[in-house]
Amino acid sequence: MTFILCSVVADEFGDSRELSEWVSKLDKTLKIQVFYALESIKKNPSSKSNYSAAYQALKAADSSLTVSLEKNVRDRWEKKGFNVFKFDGSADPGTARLVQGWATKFVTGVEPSVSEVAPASLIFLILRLLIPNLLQSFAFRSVAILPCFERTFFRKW
Amino acid sequence: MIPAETGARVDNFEHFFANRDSKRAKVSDLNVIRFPDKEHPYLMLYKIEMFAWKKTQRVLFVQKDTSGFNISVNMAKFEVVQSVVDRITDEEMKNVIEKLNDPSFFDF
Repeated sequence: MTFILCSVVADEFGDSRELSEWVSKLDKTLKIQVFYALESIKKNPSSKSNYSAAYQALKAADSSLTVSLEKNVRDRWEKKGFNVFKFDGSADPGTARLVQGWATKFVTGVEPSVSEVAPASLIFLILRLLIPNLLQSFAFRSVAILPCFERTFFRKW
Repeated sequence: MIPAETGARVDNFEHFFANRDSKRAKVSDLNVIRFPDKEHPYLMLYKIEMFAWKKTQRVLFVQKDTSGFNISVNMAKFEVVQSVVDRITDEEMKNVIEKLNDPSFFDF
């Protein structure tokens, strides 16, 4: 059995009217910033599906764009014991809530906040959808992989 | 499979007394590019990764299992070089605005 959850989290600019509204609110500096960023990213097609490629493409445009912050933050959640994840195919709601709460709190606490990102609500939606299913997937002895820049895949065998 | 499996099995005579096993897999990789607005005048890249893991340690018939997730957020903030902005002519600016208003410019 395969179950796929697919969600677009990039390139959400709405219609052309919304795009024009957004552009009109940008000052000259920001317009130029977006222009050079897109030009750089477009030079490397894999930038769309890969953070490192996008990062490298933007960094390579050092004559027009400069990196003002780089950060890596990490956290860990663990539980000891045999029955952390159920074997009957159901996700333990208590564990799912704990993991979901931990992941959401961690992601929202990161500064500059990911919640400033336009599709932040989508990120949390994914976390809400993903984590209980993820736990369930472990009970089914499966592997879940989200390999893609703009899409979230959830697989269950 | 990883956090649910319990797996320090007896593979040979030595492992009858004690064994340990660990597994780790990437379960999510969410990448976001955030374009600037007035309140947040910079370009941001985010990468949110989650890993699932499980460790098992067994001595004879006593087995300890630990399962969990690791989460990692990578981010980078980019800003435009001011001298580039200063050098842009009115004609070039017109071209920039025209391209930004074209939705196909965002197809990459």
